[in-house]
Amino acid sequence: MEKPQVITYAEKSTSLSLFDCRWIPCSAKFVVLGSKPRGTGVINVYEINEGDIQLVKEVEKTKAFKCGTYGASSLQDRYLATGDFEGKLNIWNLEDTTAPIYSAAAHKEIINSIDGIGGQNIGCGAPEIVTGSRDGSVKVWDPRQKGKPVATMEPAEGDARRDCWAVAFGNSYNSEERIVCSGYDNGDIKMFDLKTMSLRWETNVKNGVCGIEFDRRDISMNKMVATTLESKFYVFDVRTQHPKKGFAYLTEKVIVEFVTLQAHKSTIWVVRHLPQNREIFATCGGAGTLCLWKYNYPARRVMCDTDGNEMGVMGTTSLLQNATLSTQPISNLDWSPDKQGMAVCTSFDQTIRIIIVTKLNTL
Amino acid sequence: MDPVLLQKQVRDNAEDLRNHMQELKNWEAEMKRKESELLASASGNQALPPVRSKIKRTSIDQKSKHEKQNERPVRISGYDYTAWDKFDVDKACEELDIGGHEESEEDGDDRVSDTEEKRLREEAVYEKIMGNDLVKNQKWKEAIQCYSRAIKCFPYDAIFYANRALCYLKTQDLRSAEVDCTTALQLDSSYVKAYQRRAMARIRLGQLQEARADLLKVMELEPKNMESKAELMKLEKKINIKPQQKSVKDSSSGACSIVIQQTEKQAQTSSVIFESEKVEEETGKQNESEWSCSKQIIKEKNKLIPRTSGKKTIVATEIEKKAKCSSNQEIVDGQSGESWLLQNIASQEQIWPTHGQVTLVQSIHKPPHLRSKKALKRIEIREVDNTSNHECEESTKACTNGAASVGNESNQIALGIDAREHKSDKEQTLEEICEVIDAESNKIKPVPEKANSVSQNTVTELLSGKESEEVPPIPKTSVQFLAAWKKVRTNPRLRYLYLKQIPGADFPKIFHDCLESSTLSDIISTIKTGFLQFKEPALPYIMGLSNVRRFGALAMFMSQNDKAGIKEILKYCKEQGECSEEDCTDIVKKYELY
Repeated sequence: MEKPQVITYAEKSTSLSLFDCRWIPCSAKFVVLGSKPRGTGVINVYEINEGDIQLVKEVEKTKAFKCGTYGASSLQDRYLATGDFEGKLNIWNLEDTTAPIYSAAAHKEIINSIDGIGGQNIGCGAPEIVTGSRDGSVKVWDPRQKGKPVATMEPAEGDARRDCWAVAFGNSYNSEERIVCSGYDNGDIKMFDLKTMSLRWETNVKNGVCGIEFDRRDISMNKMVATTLESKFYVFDVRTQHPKKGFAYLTEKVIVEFVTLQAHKSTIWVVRHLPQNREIFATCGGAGTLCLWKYNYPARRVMCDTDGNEMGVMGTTSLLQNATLSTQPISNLDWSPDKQGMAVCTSFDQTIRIIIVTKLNTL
Repeated sequence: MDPVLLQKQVRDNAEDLRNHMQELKNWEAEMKRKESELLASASGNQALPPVRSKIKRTSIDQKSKHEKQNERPVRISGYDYTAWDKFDVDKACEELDIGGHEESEEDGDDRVSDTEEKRLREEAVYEKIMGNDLVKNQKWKEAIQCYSRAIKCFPYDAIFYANRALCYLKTQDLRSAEVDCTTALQLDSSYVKAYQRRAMARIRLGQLQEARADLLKVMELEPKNMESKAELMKLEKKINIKPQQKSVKDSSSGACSIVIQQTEKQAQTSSVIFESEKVEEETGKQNESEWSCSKQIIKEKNKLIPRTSGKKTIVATEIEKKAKCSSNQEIVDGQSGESWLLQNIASQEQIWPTHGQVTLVQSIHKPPHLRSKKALKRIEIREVDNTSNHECEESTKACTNGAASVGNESNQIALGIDAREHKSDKEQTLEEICEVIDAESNKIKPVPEKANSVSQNTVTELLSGKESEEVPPIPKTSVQFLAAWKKVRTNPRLRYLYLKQIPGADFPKIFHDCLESSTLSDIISTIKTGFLQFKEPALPYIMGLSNVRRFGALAMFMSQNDKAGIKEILKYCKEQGECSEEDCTDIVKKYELY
């Protein structure tokens, strides 16, 4: 009973297929992205009012929206960047949605995942948006540059193009350093260094990677969590790299210790770290379950192998709480940056839920 | 589980939840208020790094433009009729059309005509000059605005960013400074100042490894950049300490490799230090030989030495006879805790009758790290006119006795220094420090510290006329100065005399831009100890130093200690009345004393 409780604070049923939800920074409002049954895209703005979810604004566009982020926009602007089923990247001013303020035909196919950085955390580099698409490419965009990505990561001509399901920014602790991590349907995880414009590390976790997130974007990279099909997620200690001998990419290759956990008994769709405490994160599974985890660091995070090379040592994760919120998979979850323990989640039963997790401050 | 407990916990949880709900309602209201505030507030202007590929692209564009200009299309000679026959006019026209079209498409609305660009660039340069003036007057905020305008007009000049970064550094906006430096470096990857400034920003932001990389880059580009070298050494020390603390904290050995890297580096630097120590040792030896030159008599075995090596007392005794002065003066300069011991006895028959038992304690040189860390005690030196040889002799005895008594009553040492100025010859100000120990009392009493006496670790030494001749001549170049400085460094007295003969205003001429921060700090400490003590004018010196080229950079790296020294000197100058308000503010500005 000392454990944190997960409580559904409010519920709202809609007629939409819901794909993504985001809190509008510095407000009690959030947006949900999805599509109507007839295939059009919808951005809905909701506000929490006296414990109730009220629709503030509805925007309908021709193509269904898959994902969105506020990461690259400043607190004053609060422009929403979205990726849609057509492969278009748009940035919207939700006050005036007649036309996007930025638009790019980013990919040939659906944009599965989007992440933004550089908007709210000042001094951590340029505002940038990364998109991952079914066409196998990962592109980095700067809202100040029209029409062209500032960086593109895609397989060489003729190589098999894997469906990119997840992208995430990290390691952006000063104006130069920045990392993009992407996960693919075949279980590949690739880490690109945007400073050197090179592939820093890659691995394969055998199952398709549905979600990737660094515990913090604006610190020198510390931990990364990747969730996969078949109910496993991986926690990587990305603080320490180990150069592996005898390979073509010996300086770039890193061995990262990881912990595998089996929890949801189905696909884990999403992982989100608590903005107020980076050791706590939630994973949302295919069966409508939400698990709350805490990562415990080992006594020593680094040890030297026989050759004197450093390698990371993993700690443990402990399950704090799990709760079944719906009968259908939870497609997305977003912790409120302004209120600890509050989150909004969307699920495929067409319902939006505001959940509250108590006792997080005592952990 | 105990059902009562369970029930209580369930109740507690429910209570918790209710509180939470209540809190949430308050939160909703608060967020609405915050949001309206946010909308009302103006957007802050923060330096943003440029678009990632933009710079590269423009530089490539420029390059390709140049190339295009260079490789002119192959001209067909007017007489080459066969070639003209083959020439397809339509195709050429088409090509021209397409080329123009492509260009316009590529550049889009960014395209600015050449004349327009020229005008903008001129405007930017004008703004930069304005900004530079403002920087000279330390108006950082206004300068930032100027540079921002310059950047707006022409965003491809690294200098604008680097200068703005300096202003941001000064206004403590470290993040922006770092961003600007990065931008400048993207435009010009061999811009040393930008590296330096970014290193400063990163040090203050706590990103030590990155700062180190920047400084290493500086060293790579400019191996003779002494400020950066000094800063790098400082930083490496810091890094060495920091990871160790960290590894204790989260008990990780993550610091291992860093430490190893650092030790390599340190090995190098320590070898440098070794060298300088060697030099010091050599000069020490020279000094010693000088000492021995002055006639010394050893009449007893050095009984005192073992005692002093017990780290209780140091008695530096020096006896000097001046022909003009009828008085014989015996100086006992004792400093408890310090570990060197000097006793020089000049053998002058009139003063020191041969029958007297004289103890000579030779100087012991101990390296700084072996010296005692105990605080120094001040001894009061009183002046006595020695009317008779006998008395003098007695006082020496007393001295030895006194020192002997130290062994027994270790803490009851009376030591005192009294500096008396004695102007004898035209050119030499000779200082005599003397101490008289009462012949009657074997016990010496502690005396309170004197306020305006010499700084603690400076051992005031007596200087005979002979020694003063050793002062090197006035230098003309920094090389001469440094060579001479090396010689006089160990002797504060010589150092002072040497410095005194150089006109302060000549510093910029002597040093050009070769003044190092270590030399600067030596000079400051010499002025502080020497000039202030002898009431010599010090203002020309600090003015002269501040006029040395690139002094701004030196001032940036000045230690707190040096700054405190400058402040003291400035205070003294004001007291002496040689320094007007204007000079004073000027110096404060140049030395960054705020």
